[in-house]
Amino acid sequence: MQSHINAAFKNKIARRYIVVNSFDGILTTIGIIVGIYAGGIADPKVIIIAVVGAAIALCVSGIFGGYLTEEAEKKGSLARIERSMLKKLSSTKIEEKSKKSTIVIGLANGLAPAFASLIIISPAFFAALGIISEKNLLFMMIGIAFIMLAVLGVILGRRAKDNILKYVIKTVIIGAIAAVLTSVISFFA
Amino acid sequence: MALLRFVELDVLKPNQLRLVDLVNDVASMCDTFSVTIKVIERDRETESAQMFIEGNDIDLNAVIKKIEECGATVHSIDIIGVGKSPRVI
Repeated sequence: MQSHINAAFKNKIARRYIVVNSFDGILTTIGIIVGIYAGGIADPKVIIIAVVGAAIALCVSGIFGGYLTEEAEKKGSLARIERSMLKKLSSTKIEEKSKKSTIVIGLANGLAPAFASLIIISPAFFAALGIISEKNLLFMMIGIAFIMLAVLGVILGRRAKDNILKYVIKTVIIGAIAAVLTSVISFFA
Repeated sequence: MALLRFVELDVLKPNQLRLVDLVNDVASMCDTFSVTIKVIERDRETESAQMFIEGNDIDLNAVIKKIEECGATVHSIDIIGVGKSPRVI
């Protein structure tokens, strides 16, 4: 498992997908949570069902969407190399590596948003089990979501070798925009 | 029968296949192998290279098979060197 995670982080495309799709997962979850609260339903079970449903959908769509897109790209690239080499590359290490990388990218694409969503609603699981109170549940979950957005900002800033704070502010502002837009629309509905 | 102790191969490899991986894979076939590779020409998708293999008793067919398994191809065998007794490395 550790080696797969390392492989995903070493793979440039997978790393990009992890960040992009974690962002997707976090913003989708913020939207759902704020929407549910704006609708006046503060039940942790409703939050869990809604967000887990979205996480499953994001996961399935991410894994298969990412896998199929990457498979098509890699096949095209392999065909180009085969034309230059004047030989088939089936059952060579290049093909094997390409297949492995397609799987890693597909998994990274699907699991990143699902994990992000589940981490955000972790307080709802504890509230449903009665370990923590339902009071302030919204703030806890939104707090975790914004911490995760800040972490993504740190990752992006480090990759860009630029000012980390600048990226953290950007990602947090984007999260705030999603939250405000959802609450405004929910109030009008 | 003399033993095959040195081979120079003309190899065409995809750019995607790293030189170090190709050399390592060939070298790992036998403890006595010493493999050197030199890039001659680089195109958009491929690289032509000269591969020099030194060893005590090189199995040329196995080496060519290994290179093809890696995704490269052997265009020609340019130099071969033989000797009767195993070399002391």
